[in-house]
Amino acid sequence: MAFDLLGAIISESTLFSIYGLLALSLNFQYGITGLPNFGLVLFYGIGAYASGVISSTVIMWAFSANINNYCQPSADTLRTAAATGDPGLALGATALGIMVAAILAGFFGFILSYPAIRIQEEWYLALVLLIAAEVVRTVVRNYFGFGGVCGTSGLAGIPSPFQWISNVTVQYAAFAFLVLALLGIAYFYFQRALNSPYGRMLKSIRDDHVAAQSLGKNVRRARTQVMIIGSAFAGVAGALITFYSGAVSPDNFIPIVTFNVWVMIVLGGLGNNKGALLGALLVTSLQKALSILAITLPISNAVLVLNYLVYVLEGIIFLLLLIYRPKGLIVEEPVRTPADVVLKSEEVVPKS
Amino acid sequence: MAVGLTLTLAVLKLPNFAHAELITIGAYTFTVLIDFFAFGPVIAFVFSAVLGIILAVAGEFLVFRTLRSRRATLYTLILASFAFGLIVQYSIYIWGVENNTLFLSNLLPNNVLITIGGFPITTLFVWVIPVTVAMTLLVHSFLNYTLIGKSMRAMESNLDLSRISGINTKRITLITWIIVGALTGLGGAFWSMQTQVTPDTGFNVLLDIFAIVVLAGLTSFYGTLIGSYIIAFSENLLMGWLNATFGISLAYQPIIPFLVIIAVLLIRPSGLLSETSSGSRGPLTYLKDILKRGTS
Repeated sequence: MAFDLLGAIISESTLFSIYGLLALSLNFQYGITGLPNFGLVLFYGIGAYASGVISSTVIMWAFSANINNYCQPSADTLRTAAATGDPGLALGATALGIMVAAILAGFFGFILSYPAIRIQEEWYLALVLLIAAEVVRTVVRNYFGFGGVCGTSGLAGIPSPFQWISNVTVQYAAFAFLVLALLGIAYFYFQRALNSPYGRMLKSIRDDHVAAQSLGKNVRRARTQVMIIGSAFAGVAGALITFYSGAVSPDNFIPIVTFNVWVMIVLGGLGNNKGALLGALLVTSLQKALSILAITLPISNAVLVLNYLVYVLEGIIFLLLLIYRPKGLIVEEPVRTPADVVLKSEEVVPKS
Repeated sequence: MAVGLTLTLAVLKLPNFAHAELITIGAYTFTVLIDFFAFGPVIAFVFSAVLGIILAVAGEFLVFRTLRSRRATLYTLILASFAFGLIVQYSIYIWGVENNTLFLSNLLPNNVLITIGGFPITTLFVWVIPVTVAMTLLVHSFLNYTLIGKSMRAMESNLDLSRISGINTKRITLITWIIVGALTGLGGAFWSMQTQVTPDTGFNVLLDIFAIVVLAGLTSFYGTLIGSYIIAFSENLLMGWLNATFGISLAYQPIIPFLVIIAVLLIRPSGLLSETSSGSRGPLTYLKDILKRGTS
């Protein structure tokens, strides 16, 4: 297989954008508000499944196909063929899928954080979410029935929104642009949130939630809101990975995915949206480089070994970062308030 | 295994997610020695414990001590333990791929000796119960009657005070890790007798262990023991019942400990360890109190 540079760039930018979304959402939860979300992969997975199931169902309804054949390969071909023939249907199913993914993931963010978010011992939240992710994954693995969850094998044949473009490179490039655009919107949103009074309140909760509470801030409500917003964005990221890869399987949503995102935000710098993006870029590039290396190296088992080696490397980098540079590559910036911006831009001279 | 985590939580105040890897290491050492080198079980147990100790102490020296000396926050320590665990786990994966040993089952015979009232009593059962009881008594007397054990309990209740009273906290921390490593390595070895050994073994048990520890109120040793039995029995019996009555697949077993954690969090919302109200202790600490009153 000849090395396909353009394809590699397109897939790298897609993956970067998806992980960038995850990193932004985790940064919002942990970096800014101090919520240790160790179950990010759960919301990512919920988004992925929700979008896959919804978009497939819509397409199969549109063609009045037998829903019971959901997991059959014939249904996969039908869905792909349907999306190839009808651009409107493909785009509509995608849009609906992404919306449902965001809503459902946000809802789960609320439900699952509810028992733990009220507790003084804050690491309980980390524990509950970490475990919830594994429990839900186990359930999905063994579940075969309603809505096309399809058990261990997962759901395949989910058409890309640009399935109707016959040129494959253009199809993937279009998808990459869509994802990049969404990432841009998310970045803008989180940047605004960070520099707003609300963002300052969140930072105050992170730094000292007792003090924040004493100033009349509703800490629990703010934390719950942050859980919901962050989870919804993670759900969107999950929806995007589903439409990108065309399939969703429970074994893609293991805890190591969460850890990947943690490495990104700590590497880039906590409490810093630019840092989250930089971290996402670096980590996905490292993975891409090693996966290309794995294909080209003439060693047996190279793909597997390098796959695991990535995680060992990430773990070591992560520990070194925590020990020697806990603030990350880009140090957290001071919040830009409107008054601050005005002062800087007009260079107001203090009256003497 | 759970007692090890309780010790870490109580003395070192660290929710150690790398605890899972101590179990994995114990399970792997035991299985590999028995399957490939035909060691006797007793020697294999010793090796499991030793490797558990080595891993635990390595974690302390390489990761936790450095971080603590830099005044890292609790989250940083948790994250570091998570990262350390993953490094170990995936190193085992690599080793497993290279040597084709990703999935092992223990060759030690686990025969049904006798059946009492429909419950089979296996070799494993005969082995595990006495060893567990012996280990518990050992840890108990160590904590209560030796100077080191007393210093450990002092560190548990107040770190600064114990430092002022001249306790070498670094040394005690190290000793705690050694005990934790040995206990958990042994636990992993036992665990490997009744399950398939993979690099994920420890992580899969971690859920049960955290459920036990949360149920027991985090830092109580006796509560942990009782909690282990409650969780184990409820998992097996309840799941068997659900399976027989409603036809729910046995694969959903991990849900039960998760529900236990959620229930404990909901019933005691002020936190199991918080000192804000009188009714804030774990449910099993009451049992422990009753037991204490009975013995003293």
